Amino acid sequence: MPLANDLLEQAYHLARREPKRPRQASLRRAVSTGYYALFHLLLSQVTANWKQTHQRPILARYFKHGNMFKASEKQTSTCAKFLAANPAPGADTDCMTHLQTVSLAFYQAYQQRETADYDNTKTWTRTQALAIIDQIDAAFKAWPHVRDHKFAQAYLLAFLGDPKGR
Amino acid sequence: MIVPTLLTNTPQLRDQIRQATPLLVPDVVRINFEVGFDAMGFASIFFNIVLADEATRPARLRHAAQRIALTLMNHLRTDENGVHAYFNFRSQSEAARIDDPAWAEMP
Repeated sequence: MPLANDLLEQAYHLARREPKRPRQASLRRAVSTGYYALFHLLLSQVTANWKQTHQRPILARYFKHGNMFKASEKQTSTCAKFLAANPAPGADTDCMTHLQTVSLAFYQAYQQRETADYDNTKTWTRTQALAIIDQIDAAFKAWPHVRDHKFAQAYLLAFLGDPKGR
Repeated sequence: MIVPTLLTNTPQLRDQIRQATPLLVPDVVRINFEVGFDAMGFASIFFNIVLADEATRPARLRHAAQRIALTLMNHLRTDENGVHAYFNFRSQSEAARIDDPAWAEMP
């Protein structure tokens, strides 16, 4: 995942530039870059299931941001319900805890990226940008714990969207 | 367009948020919010949360941000109420430096 990791590093670099007075352009690009770091991390994971390695970059082009957002919003909700029932400790509970971190980060970052890229009425601060990038970084750290779990694989599959096209 | 009940009763929403705030001290100084629609067109609540400067230190911010987000989503049952929730954070110093009504202390 060199691209995803490089994007995350770049997001932090942009968010921490200009120590005294950060430029709006730096903070906005930091948020946007953070989102794309997570986007590419998850795409690399879903396409890794495709056996033909040379086709994976092409396959990645079929995934839509909006479907990934919807899948992440739904996954965040599923995790919250699961964890609210105080489940017994175990692999499923661990997975849902980590998956909540990943899906919540995507769900939040998607909207924040829209604002950062298009809404000039909003002023950004370094804390705002770092809070988002930290959530994305937490998602990067959580994902390796769960990537082979059935719940995580179902989450990736949901990125394809509704099979009936609704 | 259908707007979820949670967002149509602002005083009640404000009360619910006020009830949740003690769960979030000492990290949270105050919680403001705006209602509207997100990029996907879903009814949404956009939180503007002022954090104590101490809570924005690198080692603490990530944990504080996720804990606050999940606490508010659970407390307001945003999912059951059909509302998307988004969280913005500023430090107390940043909020004091920038004149922005959306982040100001409410009377």
